[in-house]
Amino acid sequence: MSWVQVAVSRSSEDIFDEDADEMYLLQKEWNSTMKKRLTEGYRDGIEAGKELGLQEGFNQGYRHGAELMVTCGQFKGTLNALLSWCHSNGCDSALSKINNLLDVVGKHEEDVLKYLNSTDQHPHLGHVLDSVQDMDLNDTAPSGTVYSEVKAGKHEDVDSSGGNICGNNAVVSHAAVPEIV
Amino acid sequence: KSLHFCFYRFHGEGYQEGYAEGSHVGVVEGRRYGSLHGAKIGSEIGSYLGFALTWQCLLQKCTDEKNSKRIRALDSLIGMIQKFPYEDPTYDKLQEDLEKIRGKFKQVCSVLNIQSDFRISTERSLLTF
Repeated sequence: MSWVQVAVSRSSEDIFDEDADEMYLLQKEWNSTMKKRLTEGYRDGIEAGKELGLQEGFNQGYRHGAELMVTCGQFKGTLNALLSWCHSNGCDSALSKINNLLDVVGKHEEDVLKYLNSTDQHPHLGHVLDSVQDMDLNDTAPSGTVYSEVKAGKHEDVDSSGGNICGNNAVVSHAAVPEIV
Repeated sequence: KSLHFCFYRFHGEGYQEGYAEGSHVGVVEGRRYGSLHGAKIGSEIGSYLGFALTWQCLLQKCTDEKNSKRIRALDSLIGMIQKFPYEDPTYDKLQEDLEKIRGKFKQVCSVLNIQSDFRISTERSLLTF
């Protein structure tokens, strides 16, 4: 029966196409699922890393700030003691000098706090190297260029030329800040 | 089984990358907050110490009764400060000891007949009478 043959042959073609479509869809779904897993993992990782980093950074910074300011505070306290002594004992001549010194110390403390509050970090050579690697530049840069020297780790500090190598790379914008000597 | 593996592997790879990124950002931010906080406390504690040591020095030669009470108070404050690990953010009694020192400082000021409301912060310090 020829119609049977025709029907069967046609349906097997259809079946074959359906399988191909299905495979394609499954593949697409798989890719999208795995991509989602990567993103989820990335987000989870960022959260976890940030939490731990905040605490570690806080402890490091706290110690640094406290040690930085304690001597300044001591100086301030000494001046205040002298000021109160002068007041109690009527030595008015020294008062203005002491007040001037207090003003100077106060200004210094403000400056230190401003510096501590700034978001500029000292660029480390490591940051530059990481970012340059991220840029995936050709390894055949001629020797003697700043890039190849940085890669070889010959530079001990990052100066403004560090900003030039990296160009417009947003990741490395902080490296363009010259090292605060 | 291999599906399971992929599921965790991709998550894990993303996680590692995110973790590195996140901890870098966190450390920078944390350092900023921490250093401001530590600076304020270092300055405060330092000012109490400088104040007390100077007065101790100034009263060295005064041995009358009124001054011996003052000297005792000063010694006590200095002792408290010297024992206090002001630079250790993980010290569990940090806030408690800080409050005790503040209270002791106020007591020392009253014994010295000084108003203790001069500002310990970075504002210009002025003693008022």
